[in-house]
Amino acid sequence: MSDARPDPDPLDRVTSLAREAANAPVPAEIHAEGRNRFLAAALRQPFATRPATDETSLFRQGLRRYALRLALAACVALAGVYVLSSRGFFATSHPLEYEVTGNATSASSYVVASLDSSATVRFSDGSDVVAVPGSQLRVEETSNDGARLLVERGTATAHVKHRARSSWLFVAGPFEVHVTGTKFGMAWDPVKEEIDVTMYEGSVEIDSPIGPSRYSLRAGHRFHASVLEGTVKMDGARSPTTENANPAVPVPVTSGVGAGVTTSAPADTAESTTVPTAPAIATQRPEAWPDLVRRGAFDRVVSAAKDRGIAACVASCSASDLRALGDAARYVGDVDTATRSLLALRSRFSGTRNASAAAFLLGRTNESKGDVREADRWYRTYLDEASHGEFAADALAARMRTSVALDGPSAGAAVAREYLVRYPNGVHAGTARKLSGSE
Amino acid sequence: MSGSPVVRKQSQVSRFPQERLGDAELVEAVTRGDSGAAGVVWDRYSALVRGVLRSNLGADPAVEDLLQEVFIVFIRGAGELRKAGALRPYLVSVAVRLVLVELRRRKIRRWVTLSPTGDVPPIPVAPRDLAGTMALGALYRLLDELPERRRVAFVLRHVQGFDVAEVALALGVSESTAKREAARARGSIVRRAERREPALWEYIRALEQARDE
Repeated sequence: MSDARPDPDPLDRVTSLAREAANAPVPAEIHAEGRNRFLAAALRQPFATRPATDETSLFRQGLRRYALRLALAACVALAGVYVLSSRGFFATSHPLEYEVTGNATSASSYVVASLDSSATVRFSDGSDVVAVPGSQLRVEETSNDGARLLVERGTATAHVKHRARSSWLFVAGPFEVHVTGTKFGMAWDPVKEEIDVTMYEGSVEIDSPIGPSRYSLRAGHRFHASVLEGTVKMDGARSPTTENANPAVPVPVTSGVGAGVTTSAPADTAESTTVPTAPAIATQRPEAWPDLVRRGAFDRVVSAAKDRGIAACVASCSASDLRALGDAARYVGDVDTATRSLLALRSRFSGTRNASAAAFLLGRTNESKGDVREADRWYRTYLDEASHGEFAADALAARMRTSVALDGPSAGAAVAREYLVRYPNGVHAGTARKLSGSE
Repeated sequence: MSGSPVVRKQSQVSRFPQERLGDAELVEAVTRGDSGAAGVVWDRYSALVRGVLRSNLGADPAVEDLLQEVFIVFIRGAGELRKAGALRPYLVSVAVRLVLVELRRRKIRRWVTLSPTGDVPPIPVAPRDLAGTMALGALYRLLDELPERRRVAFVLRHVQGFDVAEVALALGVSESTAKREAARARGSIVRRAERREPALWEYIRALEQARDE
């Protein structure tokens, strides 16, 4: 029998047929559609940044070439600046000036509002900062484009004039609020180490030692963080009509941080995310789970979660960690952990985009374990919650499959028609046309 | 010393075409958020990744979704790609991970018999001759019986033509393991073809005879 066994070469002929078939180029429109879909999705993703390590020396050769050009360009630019400044072009530029009214101290840079009245710092560009009664601020420095203020205690309401170039920084404990032009309230309790930022106009970015390093806030958002508890909470999206509601109501800070903030999000529009990220946990888990998922280390995320206890994580992990765990578990085929993470994401962060995404991913997870009916239910849930969401096209395509499996081709045809109306050039348009009978 | 001033003609400065950038530079650009570079990565590697997915999974509608998922994982993880030649193996390894999950998914489907599509879908493009088509179908039926890792090792090594080091990297195993898995898969296929897949067996025999003649 062994004599009759073929030489391996003929099998290679069969595998080469498989290679030809698998590697056959797709039509240009499929390639372009996939490319567009990817780039659209990529724009919604946080682009990963390269860690600042010595490993970047791998790019040194290329960088050296560009560095030389950069140095030459910098020399030319510096020469230009020198010429312009020597001709008095910058003669009118100078740091912002300011005056303080209602200050309980005589030092102009140290602003203390008495317990019964507020103090106001007015800057020469028209910006102003009001310290509510009992609050303490320090104007650390001013520049041509803004100032750096330290909120030592209490609540400040800032109205920063937007200009072509402006650079304002408000510091409270370990938090830094970067501002270009906006109106917002900010409170800091140095004892409880809690910050509260309420946005009225424009946007700011907050550098935070807790959770993701930087948060972006827009009008209507409220940001609350506790260093001691290691939590961050963001409430969002009030209706525009309430955004400007009496932003500078001065309320003494004796009742705690954020006491001056009287507006709150209506329940039906609020998006609230609590991120418990205790420092103790951070030290136990030096590499964040979303980062591990980004670089494909799915096993490490799942095993880290199991070390910690899936039940504990489901009860207390942040939304981003639950999402990361859900993804990682799905990728390694741990359906149970994926399901528990995603269900927790939905129950604990109800109403958020993450919760809707979890519905879609639960559909995927259930489909992967063969529970088509449950998968279909989750896909429908996702489409109900986020009909134009990031997974809408995929959810409709998935529903084509589940509908056919559950109720036959006619049910699938109805979904296919809906898909074609919404995504006539979608990746699954060909399948949809076949299913709907339009091809 | 006298002489006329040298007048240099101002040269046109244009952007270096991204299509001609190396992988490392493209990754660097992607980490800066350059979507144009991301597009070039797609242009350069989507065919390879699609090939890996299709050679493992057949013409499954999920292939295009998985292809998207591979590149989204890349966008999220580009910052970790520190070696100049890491992009291709990285994309392949992500694709392989997704393939393994998809294969497990299909296995579960078959167990619970909830879906008729638990079998390997037809290959993407049928070869020109009928015998070849049938042999290929038989090959995939046999592949479907193998453990996932062994199956993928075989497909990467013998269908995609990757070298052993690439297969090992994609599967996250040692080179000796990759080599052993691919060889065992090959042995299993040949033995089982002889017993159960006459279309494949006869096709191989015919090729063998033609070669000997």
